[in-house]
This record gives sequence, structure tokens and C-alpha cells, in this order.
Amino acid sequence: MSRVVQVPGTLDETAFETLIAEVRGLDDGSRLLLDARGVSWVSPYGLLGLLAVGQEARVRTGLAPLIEPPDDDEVRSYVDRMHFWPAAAEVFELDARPPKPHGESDALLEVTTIRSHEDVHRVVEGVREKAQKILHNRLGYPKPAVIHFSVMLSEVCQNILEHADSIGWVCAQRYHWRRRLGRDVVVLAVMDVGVGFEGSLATEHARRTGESWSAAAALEAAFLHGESRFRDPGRGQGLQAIRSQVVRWDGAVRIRSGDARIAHVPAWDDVPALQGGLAPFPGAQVLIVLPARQNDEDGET
Amino acid sequence: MRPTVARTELYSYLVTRHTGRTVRTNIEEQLARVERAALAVLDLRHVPLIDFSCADEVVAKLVVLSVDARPHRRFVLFRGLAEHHLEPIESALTRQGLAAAAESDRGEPLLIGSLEPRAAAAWREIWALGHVDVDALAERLDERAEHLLEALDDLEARALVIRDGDIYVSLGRALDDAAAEEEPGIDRP
Repeated sequence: MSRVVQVPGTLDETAFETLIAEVRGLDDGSRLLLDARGVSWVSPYGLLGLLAVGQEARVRTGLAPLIEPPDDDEVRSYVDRMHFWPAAAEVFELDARPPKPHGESDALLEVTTIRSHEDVHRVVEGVREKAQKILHNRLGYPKPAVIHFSVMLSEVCQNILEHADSIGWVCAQRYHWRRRLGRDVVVLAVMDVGVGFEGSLATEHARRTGESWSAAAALEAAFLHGESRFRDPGRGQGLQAIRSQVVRWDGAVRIRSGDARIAHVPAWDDVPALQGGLAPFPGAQVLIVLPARQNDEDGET
Repeated sequence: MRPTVARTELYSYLVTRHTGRTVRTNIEEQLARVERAALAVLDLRHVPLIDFSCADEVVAKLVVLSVDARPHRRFVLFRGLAEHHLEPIESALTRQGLAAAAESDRGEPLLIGSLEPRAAAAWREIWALGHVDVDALAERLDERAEHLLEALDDLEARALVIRDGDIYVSLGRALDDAAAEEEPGIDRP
């Protein structure tokens, strides 16, 4: 038996929440079909959201889900250019062989599956030239920001390896956010469907907090206090470093895990800093937004 | 005490804990073969970037090793540090109350991490002089010698300087002396 879920026309963070709610009741033997034919706009977060929802459906039902690609030529071309299909082929049962990725795309970072430290090296070492073009040349960041961005990318991808016990995906794209910000932004999305923050930190921290232990408490412990599941005092720096860098660049970072989301909220954004009671979903889903520098901002890195 | 010098030049991207562990394990194995005091010198001149996790695995854990080393003393000097290496390294060290001796890619001495100000001032002076006894150091710093002893004990315990009898030797000088021994034609002041 198949369960057909319509993918919202605008495939972004909100659409991801809709998809999660839709696939919640999936159980053994029912196969998911994600119908993305009506999609008219896709963000990096939305694109990875399809993979995350598909992977979760696969794990839960034991059946590879199906996906109908977008009808719109422009969206289809964008999805191809983002190298979505090679990653999708590992999650979905595809009717046709995935199209060969186009050569050079305009994406800062195409969809990349992270399953080992070699993948993290490949991502970090490969992003430099495009990061230079986009962050420095287009968004006005000083040159050293390219290195800081690479470090941030490394840490956020390693989060998958160190804490998720599962595969994950990363991608990044530049946009013009006319309505919300009136500026160009770089949007970086990283997702996995692993154990999540609550599960990862449970052994070390749940005993201390007892019944108040929750996904929201785990996110606070990791994101605000740099706590980790390891007793090693050197652990837990990665997220702290990401947060500090994003704050320095007046950016936004949001991490969804389990049924909660935590965020660093800059003045230009209006999401809650901590939100619980969301539809539960495994793993961690990270969104980072880095806005173009403005003329009155100095060369600080 | 003249330590044996073990040099490691690093060329790759120092990212991920896995890479950091591999680098550190190689250095630890190199040091384990030296049955006397040893100075590990890590050159980061050709490292395009180091992330926070790798800085913890390589820098912080080697510093812990040098502080704990028994029976033979172990010292670590990081060289060729560029501006962009500093934040991850500083963060990894400060988080655990550690400090490391280093040299920038322009050859300037760098004391990275957490250290009490008197000890930090003593370290800088020892680096500038190369080697010095406590009385001469006290005069240079305009301090009483007995006030300096605690700071010097701290520097020695943290393997940030080498104590040779009554003389405190900087890691930079120890490295120069070892190089001079390898090339006997070079005179040292």
C-alpha cells in the first residue's frame, strides 16, 4: 500500500514541518510516495528535507520510498544542478537513472552525502574557490572569512559523524532575500536522521536532569553550554564555535532535533529562540543563514 | 638537559577528529621511541586550515601529554602559526586551562592559551633571552626572585620552558641548539 504525500509548492523550512506531520503515521509495509510535481521553489533546507523524510520513511517501513520530480523546468534544472539525484538514489527508488550532474553549478555547495571523515575533507577542501567567489566577491566578506566558513562547515558536518551515528547531507546556496532582508544571503543546510541531541546526550546528562530531560534541554545543553556526550573536556567545542562565528557575522542559526528547535536570532529575524512541541523527527536539522555585509560593517572576520 | 628534537611538518587540511587523532598518534609514537627528554616541533606553515576538533586532538592533547609525561620529559613547540590557526588552537587550549609555546609564521613568539600574567611575562622574557637564571630574570622583570619562583615552577611543570640546573631555557633556544649540533659550523651566541 502506498501513501502519497504532496510536497508543498514552496519547499522550505515550513514545508519540511508539513512533510514531517504527513509521514508521522507511516508504518511497516506502507510505501511513501513524495509527490513533488507541484514544487515551484526550493531552498537547500527543503531539498535536504526530502532526503531526510525519505530516509526516515525507508527506515520505518523497510521500503525504499518513491519520489515524483518537480514538473517546473526551472525547478527541475535547479534540482539537477544541485546534484540532488545521486544522493536521492541512495534513499528513494527512482524510476529512471539519476541524471548526470551538470558540470560546474552556481551553488556554493551541491548536495553531498556525509558518511565518513573523508567526505568532510572532500567538502571542506572543495569549497574554497566557490566560497571565495561568493562570500568575498559577492557578499563582501573579508578574505579570511573563507577560512572561517570552511571551519564552520567542517564542524557542522562532523556533528553528523560524531553524534548522529547515521549518514547525513549538506548543501549551500546563495540567494537574494528581497523581502526579509533586502540583501544576498548564503544559506547552509545540514541534516541527518540519526539519534538526535536528546539521544546523543542522554547517557551523560539525563540522569542529572531527570524527568525534565527533553530534546529542548539537550539542545540548550549543547548549543548554549557546549556540553557533549563525551567526558573528554575537549569535546563540545564545534557547536560553540559555529554559534560564535554566526553571531560575529550577524547571521542566524537554527537547529531542530526531536520535537524542539533552538536558534540564535539576529535582530533581522523573528523566530523563537527555543521552541518545543514540534512534530517529533529523528536526528538534527541545521540551518545557517549568513547575510551580505553592509557598507557600515567593518572588515572584522 | 638537552632534549632530542622530533620534527613534524604538516601539509594537509587539519580537519576532523579522525585526522587529528592520526596526526597525534604518529607524533606520540615518534616520541615513545625517544628514551630521554624530547622536544616535538610541529610546523603548521603549510596547513591551509585547522578546525576546532582537530586543534583539540592535535594541540590540546599533545600539550596534556607533555604536562603528564613520565619518566622522560616531553616538550612541544608549534611553529609557522598563521592568524587563522590561532582561534581554534586558543579555544582548544583555553577550554581546558592549558597553554602552549608557539612561533608565528613571521617568527614571533606566541604563548597561546591560559597562563597567569606573571608566568606569561617570565615566559616571554625567557624566550627573548634564550636562557637565563632566576636572578637575572628577576632583574629584567623588576621583580623579587622569590616572587618569580612559583611562576617558573608553573612554566616548568607545564613544559613551557626547560630547566637545566639553575638555568631556564626557552623551547626556541633548545631547538636552535639542537640545529647547531646537527650543523656544527653554526655558532650560537
